[in-house]
Amino acid sequence: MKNELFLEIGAEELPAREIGPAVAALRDQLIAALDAARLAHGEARTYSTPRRLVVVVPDVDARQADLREELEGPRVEVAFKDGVATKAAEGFAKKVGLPVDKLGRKQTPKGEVISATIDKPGQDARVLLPEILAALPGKLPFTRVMRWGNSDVAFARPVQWIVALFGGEVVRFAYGDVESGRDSRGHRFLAPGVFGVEGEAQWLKEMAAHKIIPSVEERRARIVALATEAAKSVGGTVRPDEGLVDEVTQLVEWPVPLLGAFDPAFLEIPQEVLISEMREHQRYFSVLDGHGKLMPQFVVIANTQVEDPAVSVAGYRRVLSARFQDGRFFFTEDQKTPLWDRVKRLETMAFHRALGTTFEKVERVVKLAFWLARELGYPAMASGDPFALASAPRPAADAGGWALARAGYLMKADLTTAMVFEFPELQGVMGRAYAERAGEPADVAKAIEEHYLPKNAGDALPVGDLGAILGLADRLDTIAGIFSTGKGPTGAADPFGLRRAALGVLNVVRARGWHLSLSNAIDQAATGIGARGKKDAGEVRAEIAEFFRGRLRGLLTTSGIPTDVAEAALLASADDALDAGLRAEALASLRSKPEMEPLTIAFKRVANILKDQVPGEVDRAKLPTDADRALFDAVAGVEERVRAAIAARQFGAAFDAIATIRPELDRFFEAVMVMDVDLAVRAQRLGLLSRVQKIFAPLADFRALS
Amino acid sequence: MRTAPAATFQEMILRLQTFWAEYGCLITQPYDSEKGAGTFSPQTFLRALGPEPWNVAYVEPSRRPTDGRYGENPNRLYRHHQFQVLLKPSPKHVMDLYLDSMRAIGIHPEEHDIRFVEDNWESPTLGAWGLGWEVWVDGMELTQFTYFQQVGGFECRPVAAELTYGCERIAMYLQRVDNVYDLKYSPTVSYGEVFRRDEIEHSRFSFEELDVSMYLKLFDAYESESKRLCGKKLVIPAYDHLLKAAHAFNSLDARGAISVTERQGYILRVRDIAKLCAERYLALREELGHPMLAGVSK
Repeated sequence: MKNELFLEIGAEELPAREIGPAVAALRDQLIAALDAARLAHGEARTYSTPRRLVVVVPDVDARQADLREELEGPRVEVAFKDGVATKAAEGFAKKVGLPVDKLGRKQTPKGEVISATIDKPGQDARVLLPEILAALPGKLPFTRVMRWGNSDVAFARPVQWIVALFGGEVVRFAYGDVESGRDSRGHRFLAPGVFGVEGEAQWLKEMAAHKIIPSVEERRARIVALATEAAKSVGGTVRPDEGLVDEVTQLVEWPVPLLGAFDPAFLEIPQEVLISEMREHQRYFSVLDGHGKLMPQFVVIANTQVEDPAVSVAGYRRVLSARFQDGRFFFTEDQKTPLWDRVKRLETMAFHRALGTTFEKVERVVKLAFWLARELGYPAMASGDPFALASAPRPAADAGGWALARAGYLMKADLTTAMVFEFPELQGVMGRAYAERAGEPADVAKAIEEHYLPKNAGDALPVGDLGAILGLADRLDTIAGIFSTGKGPTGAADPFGLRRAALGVLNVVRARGWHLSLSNAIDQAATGIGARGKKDAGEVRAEIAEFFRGRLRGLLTTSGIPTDVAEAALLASADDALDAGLRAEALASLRSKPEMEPLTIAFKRVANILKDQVPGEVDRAKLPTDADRALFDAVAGVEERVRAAIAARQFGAAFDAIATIRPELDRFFEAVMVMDVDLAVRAQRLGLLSRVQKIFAPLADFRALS
Repeated sequence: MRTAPAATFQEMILRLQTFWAEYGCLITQPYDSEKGAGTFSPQTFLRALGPEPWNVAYVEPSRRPTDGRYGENPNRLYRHHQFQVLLKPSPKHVMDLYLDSMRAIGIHPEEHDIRFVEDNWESPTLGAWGLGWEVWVDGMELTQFTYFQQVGGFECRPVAAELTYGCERIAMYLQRVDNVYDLKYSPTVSYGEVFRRDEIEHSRFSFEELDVSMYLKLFDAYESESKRLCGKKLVIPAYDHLLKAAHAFNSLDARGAISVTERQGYILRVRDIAKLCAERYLALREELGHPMLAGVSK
């Protein structure tokens, strides 16, 4: 017999972002508990809304599977003396609850032992389920939980009802002051009635009748469609915002779209500010025109069908106007202090207890940026005091040094503005907007915004060099600084976003085609941090290098390069991320070719033979056989081509050239014995193989390939 | 028949009082000391502590010196009014009760988009936190709804539900005015006529005239007096001085007399006396044998 298990936990409005993880955990924990209880079951389904978490498990066994357990006791010679049971045997019998004459014997690796076979007949699921279900609500992974009334149990918000049915019959248990039953509830406003639940199919019909869309996917799709349609009615599109759609999906049980408008005069405020006001404070969707510009309309997804939508829309508009007025106030007030005058205010803003103020950070970043610029081939960056340079007017012939210093000092100045205090996500965006309005040159203003790019995986990259260099310097300084305090990321904990920062560095250098020695850059950044940190400098640098290498491996493998290929390329060197990526890509495409596998085996063999050797120079005249000399000639013939190809970073061509020595290499291994008894011959052959290794070693470590 | 919107500020308050009195709340009067929110009234802060039940509703004038705008901003005030309800233990149907109270002043769920949006409330100065919601009516936050979990650093058992209605905001919504000073306080007198001059003077005082050195001394004096009184088991006078210290801090903050780094230190000092008062209050009620528990079945 198989039955449907239905569980609905009804609560007062749950926090939107908690709902998804909670219902997934409810499902996983229920399934784990059923498995542990030996109750076979079908595949679970979940539903969730702000007021309910629902898991349905079809085809659950009505009876637990029987269990036969074989328990092992002491060895036979200990259990019986002269055919008489000893205390050891009696003790075991007592423990397993059988008389001594019901004990069996069993061969085990430790010899023959006495044993007991216990049959546990399966119990009725109805007996087991109350305890299983009662344990679930208290174990959900809410970030914060609360108690209510006189109750001692906790949940994200007070639990209001629990429906628990097995084969349509109530499974009785209690969670705090709430007893399970079959009564569920409809929409808080549109259909507030209580109704009895029989099972999933009937419940779904009742949900529809009670104005609730319980499926998250369906509700989400409906919201997207409704909002899109509303925006289209004024010739616009909804500004894409997956995060907001997700949140709104868990704020409503019955989505109803309402279109509102605001005074177009507010469009003089940067549109990012308006979007943030609508999104963060009100959860409204912004509407864009065909050019991606904000239109003076917005879409609200209400949770109910009001009698006269005009009343609600007027309310939304009134709230938004007050918000926009605040935004305009911040925008005007902030501009009363020009951005440059805010730079010194960063002296009172802590960046990190051990790493000083934000101003000190900016100073370090500017210095590091100048070093990077030189390193990346931007000549004529100024020497002397960058702050003095940046404080002076732009020189008539600025080779880039002034703009770099100016943008560097300005890049964090917007952190002192009221707007960024109100909307932290607008950092950089406001810096750019205020810089433009304060008359800063366009390249400087752009760099302020762009140094934060990419903000996350898949985000746009900086377009200008200034922003890209400053962004690298900013991230390298943060990484070097935080690692030096001993607070590098561990496990899931990465409070300073160092993984994202490292990925940002790698993505920027690779996308811009910059060959940067990471170890040099890390050295430079760590030197800037100096003795502020707690940890040993050498150790910190090694940790950071390893950290970058791990991120680069992740980046390569997510782009489709097999793990072993990425590893082989990185083992050769991970110092230049761009090179390492190109080598990995070349190796990956080579791998599909049929000659690759024997070549890999041959190269692995070379590397293994040379592992603990210190080979000398090879002399062709001293090579004894044709096979030796043929390999020598093949290597000599290809060395220069490979070197040139590597120098030109044509790694595919380099691999192709190396592959040409395969016949000679194979013949060599077939014909001769490297570890010849004649030590002179042996030395020559090791020298020869070392020449082979020198060709491919800069490209990849073939031993890592599987 | 649906109740029509309360037409004046005072009628709205009268209706809320009537609603909660009929439910069984005590209707108490504003506590006669300056404070930033209704939560600071001893009717909430102290009564939320300990096992004794307590159901109360009252209006609380709430002073936020940093929000003063010289009577010029249509939404921000040096002093606004909160209608505060504390229900301890929190009743199971408290959300329905709340919605009924909104109906009583003329806000009906059939006519408005009412939303309960997650809000984690925390008062660092009171060592208090709770979970609940901001209640949005057509996008406007009109009420804060909190289940107290901790007050003065002590766990709340049982848990109280606190409802804080923003009187001016709700009245503006009901009367459909965009400027607080245009509210009808009574049928014949406007909110501006009653309070605008106060706002101008209070703003000038707190931003320009407040004597910083005197208020710094006052803060120290109130703080030490509160501690001293706690030592004498005079819980209520001690708490009165905490309120004065907290208001002195808020006033100094508005005057720009407290730097960012000092700020945290002041907050911790207020919190320390809040904890002390809470501890003394709990001990006192226990000594008295929790008289309000009489007649309550466990």
